[in-house]
Amino acid sequence: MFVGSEIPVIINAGGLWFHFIYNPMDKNKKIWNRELPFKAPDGYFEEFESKLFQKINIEEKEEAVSTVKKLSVFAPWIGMAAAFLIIALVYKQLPERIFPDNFMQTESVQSIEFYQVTPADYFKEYELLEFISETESLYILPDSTFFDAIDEEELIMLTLFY
Amino acid sequence: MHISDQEILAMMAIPQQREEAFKLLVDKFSQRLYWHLRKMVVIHEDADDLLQNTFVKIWNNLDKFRGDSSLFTWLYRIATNEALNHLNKKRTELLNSFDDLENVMSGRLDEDPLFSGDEIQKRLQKAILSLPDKQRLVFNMKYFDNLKYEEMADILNTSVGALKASYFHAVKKIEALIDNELF
Repeated sequence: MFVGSEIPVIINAGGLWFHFIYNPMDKNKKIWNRELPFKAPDGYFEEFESKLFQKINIEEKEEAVSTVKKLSVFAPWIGMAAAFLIIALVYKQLPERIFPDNFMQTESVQSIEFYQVTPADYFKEYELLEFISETESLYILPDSTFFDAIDEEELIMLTLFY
Repeated sequence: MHISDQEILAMMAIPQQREEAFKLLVDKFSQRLYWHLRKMVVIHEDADDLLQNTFVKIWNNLDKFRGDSSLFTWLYRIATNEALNHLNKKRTELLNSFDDLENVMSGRLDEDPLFSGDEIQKRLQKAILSLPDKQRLVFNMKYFDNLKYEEMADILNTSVGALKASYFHAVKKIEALIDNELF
């Protein structure tokens, strides 16, 4: 079945016969056969449905097995975690419930000096350093935490001149 | 028996009829999806595997179909993704080999007992195989399936303009290849 001005052409090239449809309305335009040159095995589509359902059943079974496998891997760890949680709860809650009086807080905390101010707080770090080295004639070695900010070059200079 | 997509979807919603509805869906779409996949992977065995995987995915994800697109578009999209993933996987497997996938597929086309075309159709198929995957997909959908650009845009999630350009380039490349080879 050819449309409009399409002309079927058969040519022989190198001993092989080729056919195409030539449309002179469209300059040099070749319209190739649009029919798909493949075929499926006989009865393929009739058998496909049963084959597909077999595959679906197998995959569902495999999925169920893999879920059980995953659970069997994690179950002991989940069990252990649950056991620790129960032990912790028993350890914490049970004494409080059996001897509630011992756990009653009787004295309230009025003030806590969580930070005690010392004279050192009034000095800056380099003043402290000076103070230590002048009064106590202490040598602060390079591995002291005071020297953390001093780079290697400065350390060499210190070693040479002091 | 002709059954509409809406009727299939309505049956899917009822758990007792889900399997029956799926069978109807397989019956209605398996051939179209098979030929779509076959054009992409050429070999029957690969197309068969991909078609089964496509329907398994459809079966597992039926609840996720929201009805934003038509059932056919959704199925076509799943099948297309399966085909593209398969080709990418094959290409990765061939990374350490001297062959490229196009040559391998072209060679298999020569030996395929289920190829029913003549020599010129084989040459056309080989020319199509030389296109990049997505361009080949566009060419097949337009040339063989005669899908509308709007339908293709829905399936491939791209614009009509991009598809037209892609098809135009594909046709030009195929024409050039066949002209240089034969005429």
